[in-house]
Amino acid sequence: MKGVDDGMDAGGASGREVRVENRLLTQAVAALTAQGCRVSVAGSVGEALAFVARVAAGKRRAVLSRGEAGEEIGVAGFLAGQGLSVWRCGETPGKTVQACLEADLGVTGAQAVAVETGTIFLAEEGGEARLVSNLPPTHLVVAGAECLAPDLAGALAMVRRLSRDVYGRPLVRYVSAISGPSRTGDIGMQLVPGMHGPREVAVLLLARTCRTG
Amino acid sequence: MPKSVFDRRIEAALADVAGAAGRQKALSLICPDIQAARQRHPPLSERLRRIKAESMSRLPELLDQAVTALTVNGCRVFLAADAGAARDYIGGVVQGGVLVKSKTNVGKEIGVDGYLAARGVTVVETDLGDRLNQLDHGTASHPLAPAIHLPLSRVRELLARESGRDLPEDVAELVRAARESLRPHLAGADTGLTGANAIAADTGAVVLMENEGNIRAVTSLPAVHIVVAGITKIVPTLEDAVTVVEAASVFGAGQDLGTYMSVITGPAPEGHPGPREVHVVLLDNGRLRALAGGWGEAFYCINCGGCLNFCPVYRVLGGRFGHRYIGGIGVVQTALTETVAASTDAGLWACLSCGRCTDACPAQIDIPELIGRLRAGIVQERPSIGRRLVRGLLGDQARLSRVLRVVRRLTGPLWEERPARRALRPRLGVSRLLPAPRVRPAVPSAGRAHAVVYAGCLTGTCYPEVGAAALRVLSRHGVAAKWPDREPCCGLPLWNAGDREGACALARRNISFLTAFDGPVLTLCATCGDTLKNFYPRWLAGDPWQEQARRLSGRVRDLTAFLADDLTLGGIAGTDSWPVAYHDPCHLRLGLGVTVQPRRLLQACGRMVETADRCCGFGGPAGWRHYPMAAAVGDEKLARVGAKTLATACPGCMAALTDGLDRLGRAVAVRHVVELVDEAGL
Ligand code: SF4
Repeated sequence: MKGVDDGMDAGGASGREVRVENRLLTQAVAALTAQGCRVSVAGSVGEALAFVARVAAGKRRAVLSRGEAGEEIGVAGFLAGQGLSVWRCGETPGKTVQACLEADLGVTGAQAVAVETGTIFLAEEGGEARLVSNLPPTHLVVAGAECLAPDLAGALAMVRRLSRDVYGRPLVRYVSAISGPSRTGDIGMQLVPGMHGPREVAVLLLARTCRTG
Repeated sequence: MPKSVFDRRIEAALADVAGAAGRQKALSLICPDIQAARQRHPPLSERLRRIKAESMSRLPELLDQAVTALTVNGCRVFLAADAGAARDYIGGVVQGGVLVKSKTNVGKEIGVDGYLAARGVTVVETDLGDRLNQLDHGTASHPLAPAIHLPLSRVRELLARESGRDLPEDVAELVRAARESLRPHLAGADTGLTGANAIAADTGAVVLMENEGNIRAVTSLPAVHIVVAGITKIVPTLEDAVTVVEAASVFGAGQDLGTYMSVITGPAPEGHPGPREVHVVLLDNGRLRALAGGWGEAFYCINCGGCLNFCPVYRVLGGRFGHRYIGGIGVVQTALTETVAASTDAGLWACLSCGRCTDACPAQIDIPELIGRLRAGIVQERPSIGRRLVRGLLGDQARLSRVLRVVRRLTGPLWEERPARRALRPRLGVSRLLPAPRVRPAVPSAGRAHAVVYAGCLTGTCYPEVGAAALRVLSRHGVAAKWPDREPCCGLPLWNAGDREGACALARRNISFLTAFDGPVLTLCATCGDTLKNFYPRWLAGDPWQEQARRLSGRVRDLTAFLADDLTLGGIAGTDSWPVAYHDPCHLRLGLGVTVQPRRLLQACGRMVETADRCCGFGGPAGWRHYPMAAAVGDEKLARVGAKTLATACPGCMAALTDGLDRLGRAVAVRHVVELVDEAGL
């Protein structure tokens, strides 16, 4: 959690904005953890990549959807440097599904996070994030703190705004709202993670300071 | 009498021990979660009900809007008038190959599995529980835990056979094996078939919720995605659709939100992975007609399954209560989308009208009322001679008592309190639950009364000592009360049996009968109390008598509530005497909201109170129409009673509990709370 509280003045933000961000970050960590996610807040690029390294340890193949936050801190290059084979969606259309089926790590961004329920929203036109976040056994979300919304209604409003502003449509083609790892209780009501989707969801939240320092 | 289809289903259900055990386990785990989740989301139910009410009242217009929006998004929309049309359309799209599917109720409604299989399509269920049932050739036993009835050893066997290797009896390992064996099906499938939790008319968005991720795979891997949904799944906006999903999570699964919510608006764009075609099959199958006929509330249902968890009939029968849609609401939907005859086979006469479903339902659907309306439709078409006879009998308690006493004289031995004798009572056309009719003891009647005791038929004819005890307690506290002997029956038995006209006639008679007395109307029977207070104004809606019904409603008090709240009873010091179990009558707890007062009275009597919540099994006509089922409901209840005295505040419950204890050979005394208060000298 280092770095969350020392962001005063970062990026020209007012003290109030920073306090709001910090409060949301704290709540997000609690809610995401309660949903069974592995969560980290990074105050710097170095901290962020250190978490990525921990999540990627032992993994061999990563697929990445186009995600603003991940690109900003150079996740793809970093993973390649860690010895993983890295496949970026959009590189060779038509191969995405195969790449996702073979990968053991899927990396996406997030367009909104509903803090109250610990729900990650992926909103997209292409549909790649649906595959990247569902087929590999580990899903890593890299999200900027600016996409935190207090609750589901707030997150939906963000998705609506993005749809209008970026795509000029009332709603983007696909929205996936993810609350924790895939799970099933269908055998004897014993809850087990990782039925069809990932058994591990790791969430990296980038504080404002990541962008400036 | 030959056994009805439903009676045979009851037999099969009661013989299915593994199913019952699985269900009990599921219910015991799910119910507390749901109750806790509800507490965290107090306004959700109101919001959902408003959305669904609006959606159903504007459905034709919303349907147009949704079709346009979906089409603009690139979906191919097909409006299916009935199940056959929906199947044919799907058959035209799916020409063979592998079809992966997720849970869909409408799929069940149109019988899509069998239809596709017969056409050579390989249908693969992807939800783990459904897949296990598919491999086992079995059916779902609970909507949330469909394969809960399968023991671990059987699950291991099924998955080992499927994956072609030996597996340990370890749940995590078995889940991994299931994941691995289903992946190739998903990756290689030609078509994906899903339902929809909701469809948003404003955006043409299909909204789906789940925990496993199978729906996400089914909707993103195959080249063709088919959505089948009832037209009643349409809501005005995306935000409304999300409320539907939230409500289903909270009320159906006890989660704040399901793990995955997928919002899908159309096929994948060129150059991107995902379905090239998205077909949306919107099924009418009687829905528009039902809406026009005033059955809109039946389609407020979001299929969360929440009601089942609390339904006493589901508890004992499982999925055999209902048809393609399970439970009381399933019975109603069967009648509206198929036929009333099919709903009879599904258990139309099994509902006990306890009201637990309405309490558990996020859309607050009054399921017992819908079932009652269906029954009324059937009864109206039958000859009316029998109905008139019963109405006449119930119109005057003194007459009813006389007739019952004559019956008793003629058939004396039948009324001995022995199981073998009880079993003979149905031969006479009376329920074996019915206690022996007794003469009312002479009770000193107050000269100028300022309260009237409405004891109810069952108290008056079979438990007169309860009425006498009530009068004694009241007079000890200076309340001069009158217990008239010619009061009419409250009418609920007729209402539940489908004779609404007769019930309303009795309501009017009671209203004018009770206007002749001053002061509060004190009820000794929870069912009568709920009827007089809550049902009359509803039954007589739009009737010239409604205003008077409202006035009467304001005077009605349950006797235990009156004693505990309005009088100073004192009490016996210490609570070290023998314990008593208290049975909450459904009409008292859920109907009148009276729960603490009878307990307070029992404590004042120096009794330690155990609680044994559950329905007694007596409600509605089920007690005599489907006795084995009602008995199983009662057994469940009685298994939770340890005390030697069982107190309650409803003669109907007393009759059912007494019969049950008799059947089980248990020596437990069944008493009305007011009798214990009287004996304690309070
Ligand atoms: S009727 Fe039952 S399944 Fe339908 S919404 Fe209400 S609780 Fe859920």
